Formats: sequence, structure tokens, C-alpha cells
Amino acid sequence: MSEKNDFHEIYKDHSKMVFNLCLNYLQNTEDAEEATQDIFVKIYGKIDGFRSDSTLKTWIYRITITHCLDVIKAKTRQKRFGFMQSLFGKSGEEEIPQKNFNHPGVELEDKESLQELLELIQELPDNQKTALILKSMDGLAGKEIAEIMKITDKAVESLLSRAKQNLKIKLEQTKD
Amino acid sequence: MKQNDHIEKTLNRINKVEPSAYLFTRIESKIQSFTNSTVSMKKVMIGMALTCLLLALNVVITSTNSETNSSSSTNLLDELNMNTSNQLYNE
Repeated sequence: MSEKNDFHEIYKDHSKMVFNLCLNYLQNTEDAEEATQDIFVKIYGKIDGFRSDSTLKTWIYRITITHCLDVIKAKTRQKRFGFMQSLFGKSGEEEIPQKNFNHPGVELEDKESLQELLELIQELPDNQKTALILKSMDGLAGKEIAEIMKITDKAVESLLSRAKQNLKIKLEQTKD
Repeated sequence: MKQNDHIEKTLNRINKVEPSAYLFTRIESKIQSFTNSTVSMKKVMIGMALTCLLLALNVVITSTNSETNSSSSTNLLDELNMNTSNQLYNE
């Protein structure tokens, strides 16, 4: 009973953070909800192995980031597989529908500009993407990001500046 | 620099949202089905011990059976005066 209560406490304290981080990575409510469920099942299964060399929040952040990146990789593989199938003309098999951009945290008037920006963020390398999401969308400090990503503060700064630089280039390319 | 500020400002406009109220119930049922589907180590060990016991019993029974079977079959062949060699013709 107490184990169940403890888990509920963990959920109450961290569910908003996990869900919003999933939304920022996956950009779709359905995917984010499914990922949040899977992440909490993982947390439930791994909580006994949690070592207090980092805070619970940091640990949950790491699980969330790893899971979201895995989901993105799986989706990319699915897309590639679908493309290959269409090339070789396998029309008999059921096609996997691609989910559209659906971020409830984005106001309607910002939707277009943010959708474009978030799609470009998806094209960044994983570590740059993570640093940018944690800093600009989750509002974490450089030190916290460094702890979560297990890198130095300077490395975080460098990742952020490279991410912004790359985004700038991509934005200019889309305007052309 | 101006572009960087623009990126920051645009990303800062994303609001934080609350997850669905039913999410925890769904997580609980997922955990429940997960724990129901996984077999405990104790059960696996008991299963393995039972299989080993069954195999050992099988070996014992077949070895004792083959001894009695071979002796009874030779007795029958002797009684019927049958040739047990593979040689068909005496040359």
C-alpha cells in the first residue's frame, strides 16, 4: 500500500514535467500521453534501482529524454520503411498513419511559426536538440542541464550556441 | 544575435499544460497488466526443478524397461527357434 502511495506521490510531483517534455520532443498530444505512460511504467519498474547519486528529478529527466529520443528514432525508422515500401510498390499492406503537429501549449496565432521552428529543432542532432529544449522550452538553468546530460556547463553553452546557429541557418534556408 | 533572441522568444511562448486527469489510471492499469504478465523467479525455479525431476524419472523408467524388454524378446526368439543373424544364405 505504501509503495503505491509513494508512486502516486512521484507521479503527482513529476507528471506535468514529464508530459510537457514529451510534448516538446514529440509535438503531438497522443504520442506524448503514450510516452508519459510508458515512462511512468519504467519508473515504477526501476525505482528500486535508483541510486541517490543524482536527484529523483534529474533521474526522471534522463529516463524521459532517453525514451523520447527512442520514440523519435522508431518513428523515423517507420517513415523510412514506409518510403521503401512505396518505392517497391507494396500497396497491399496497411500504411502507418503519420500523426500531425498537435501541441496544446501552443496558442493558435503562434501555431504556424512555432510548428516550423519545432520541426526544424527535430532535425538537430540529439544532444543539441536536448540542450535547446531543456533551456528554451523547459526553462532549466545551464547547471541543471549539465547535470541531466552528464556534461560540463561549458559544453552545455557550446551545444546551445551550435543549436541556435544551426537553427538560424535552417530558418534562412526555408525562407529562400 | 537578433535571430537568436527571436528563437528564444518564440520558444518561450509555449505554455505548460496539465496532463489528462485519467492518465494515472491508465498508468496503473498498464502496471497491473505488466506485473500480471511477468512470471516471478520463484515460479520459474519451481518449473525448472519439476522439469528436471520429470526428465530424470523418464531416464530411469526407460533404462529399466529396455533391460526387461531385451531379455523377454530373446526368450521368445529362442522359443520360436528363429535366426537372429543378418546372414540370409549359408554358403
